[in-house]
Amino acid sequence: MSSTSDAFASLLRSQTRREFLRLAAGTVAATAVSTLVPSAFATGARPQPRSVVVTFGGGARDEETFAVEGQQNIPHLLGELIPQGTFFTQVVNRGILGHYVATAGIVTGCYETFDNFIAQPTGNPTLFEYFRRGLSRPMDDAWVIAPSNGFQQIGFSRHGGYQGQGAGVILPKQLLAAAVGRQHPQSLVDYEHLLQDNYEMPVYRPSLSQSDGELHLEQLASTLRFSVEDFTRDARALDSADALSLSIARRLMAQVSPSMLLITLHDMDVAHAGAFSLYVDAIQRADRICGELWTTIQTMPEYKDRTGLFIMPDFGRDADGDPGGNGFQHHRTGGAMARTTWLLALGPGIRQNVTVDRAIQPIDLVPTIGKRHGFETPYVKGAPIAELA
Amino acid sequence: MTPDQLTAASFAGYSPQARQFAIAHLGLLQQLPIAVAPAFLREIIVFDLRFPAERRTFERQCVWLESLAPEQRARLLAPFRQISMPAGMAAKDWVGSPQAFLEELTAYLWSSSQIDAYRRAAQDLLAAPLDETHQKDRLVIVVVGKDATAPSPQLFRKLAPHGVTLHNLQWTAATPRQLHATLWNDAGSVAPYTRWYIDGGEPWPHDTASVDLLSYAQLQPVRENVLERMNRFTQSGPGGAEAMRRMLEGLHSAESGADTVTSDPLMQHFITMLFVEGSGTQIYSTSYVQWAARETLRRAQPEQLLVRFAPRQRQRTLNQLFDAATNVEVPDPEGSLRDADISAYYILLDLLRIADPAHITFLAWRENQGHAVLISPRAPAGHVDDSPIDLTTAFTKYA
Repeated sequence: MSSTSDAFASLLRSQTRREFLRLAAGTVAATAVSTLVPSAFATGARPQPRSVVVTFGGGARDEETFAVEGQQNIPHLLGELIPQGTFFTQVVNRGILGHYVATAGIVTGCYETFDNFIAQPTGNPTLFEYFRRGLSRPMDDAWVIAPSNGFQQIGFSRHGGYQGQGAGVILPKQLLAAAVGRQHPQSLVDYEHLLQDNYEMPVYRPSLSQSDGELHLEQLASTLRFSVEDFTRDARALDSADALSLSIARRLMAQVSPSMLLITLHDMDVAHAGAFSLYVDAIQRADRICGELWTTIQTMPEYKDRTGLFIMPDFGRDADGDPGGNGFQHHRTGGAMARTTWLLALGPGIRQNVTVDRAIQPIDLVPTIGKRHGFETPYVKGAPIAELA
Repeated sequence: MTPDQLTAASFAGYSPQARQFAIAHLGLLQQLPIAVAPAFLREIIVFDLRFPAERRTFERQCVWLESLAPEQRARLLAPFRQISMPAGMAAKDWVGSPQAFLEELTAYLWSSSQIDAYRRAAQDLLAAPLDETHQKDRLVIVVVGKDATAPSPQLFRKLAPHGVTLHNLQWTAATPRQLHATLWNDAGSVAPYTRWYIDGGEPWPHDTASVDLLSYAQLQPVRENVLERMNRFTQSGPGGAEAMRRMLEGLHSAESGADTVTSDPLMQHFITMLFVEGSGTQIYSTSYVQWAARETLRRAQPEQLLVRFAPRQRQRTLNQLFDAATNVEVPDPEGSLRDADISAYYILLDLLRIADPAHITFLAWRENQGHAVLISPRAPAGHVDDSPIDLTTAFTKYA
């Protein structure tokens, strides 16, 4: 396929997705940036803005989401959130399509090029470092809730100019494993559904050294202000690892109220194991979690009317017809469908019920958030998204 | 070493048929840029373990490239010459270990943003036309939904536009035997590896002499062997999916347990690779069946293929699934039906990659129920037939 036809395929997909949205939600297209409403933070009394970023670590394809046959899987995104936000139909990831390295690209605004399978800090400064340094914010104002050990170093970069100014990282599964291990060392089986592993990186198991465990328990007590007993009791009622991440996010928002929060959902990456029904179930959970997170934001005074919510898969998955892949299972081909995803933005200053079809990139998110909050992002390669910044 | 320096002696370490093939096509190999030559050698180095059909396919691709006018061939190869590689990469043993070289090259292509250009170049280079003179009629039957009881009105949604949907295809106790009879009805001599039966559980009774069987139950020794190695790998420290795959790729069929399943070295290698290269095949029978069907169609290119899905185990943590010793399997028939539904569509796509639509008959059928889709040149696309109909009549009418 030529680059022209690749571009054409991307455009077609974008138009198709837009048509689906029009049919489903009656959205209108943004035709000119100049028609945008002014930012809620631009004039008048300025509450300290907050941003919550949700990524899907494990892309979801159109067929299982915004296409007609997939819309049954995303009732909350489609029926509740998109009408309240601006939806970008074409986010093209031009970097490496591995979950950790791609998420690193999202939080640095640069396509990182390190080995996806080795946990390491990013080379470029992170969103959290720009935020904390630019606005002189304390450590507990920026947090990451991430699915596995592989993401443990995503809060801080190696960049010399931002030493010690990153985000705290909570690894929910490790936290739970430590808590259950403290309380009932033999009872992990009761929580197995919350300890789903990363299918792309199976060696990132939630196994714990003693010192790791102590560190997680300290985080549980001092940051989340949760007793081991209460935490494990609450966790028992949850149905998946992503639900555990949402639960911890809510607790963190209630106890610490961070202004900058990244949550990566990862259940849908079970697709790598080839079980389509499990992948679709996970999409449905992610949809529900996004709806619940937005409701949480609207019901917490610290967040209501001052929080932007940005939801974006890190990339897509391979197309059914691509002989180099195996359909939904992987994201190895680098084809247009694997590279193309979407962004939904909601919150103050963001137009409601609007779709935008021009192509943007995931690395545009950091400069966009920087502009909304008023901090510099000097090393990013992306550009602020005009409709949001 | 660069490809233009290749000689017959370069392949001294290859097995006999591989060496013979490489020497026969030495002129072509010498003209390939180093960015693509190892991809050819990866195919050649295991030539002795390839099925006859895939040998023919690969040879046809090589002959097609050799038949092109020099300027045409140069145009196809030019994008590979534009690929930049780190200094020193050419010095690696890409002749003796092409797979390792290609893994390193792939990682570099991604990190240097050249993967898209490479992908486009590869698609153009491998676009050898189907051999129209030797098109064979192919029959593929896919049975889904064992033990599933819930209604599934959306079943075969992706297949339905391509053929006739039968809502009352009569399934009886004799149907399994009838399916086998329909598939293997040619009493004459049959070329090896042209009739296959893939089952996600315990196979139906069948004539073992006339068909190559790959059942999940039969292959349990290989599956557990690979699982045990994966489990040990994940316990041993840092690595990752790629490192695990490299570890498994070194697994010889004599070590995998495949020699306890069959004495045929080609089948031993094929079976081993199903669990080494397939993602999830080791833990979910539905993933295994889909991947086995895909690889069988791609590599063996069968003329008749029966694929039957069975319930996979329910979702558990990967750590638990890896541990075959403690893995108590609880089936998930309803989820497995949804897995099998899209897999049936993928099997049709795989079939269409090796066969002209004018030469295929494809039946997807829900086990123990009347819901089916039949795709063939005579089956009207998008048509629905609600009338009671038996298998023989359905084939007479639509296939």
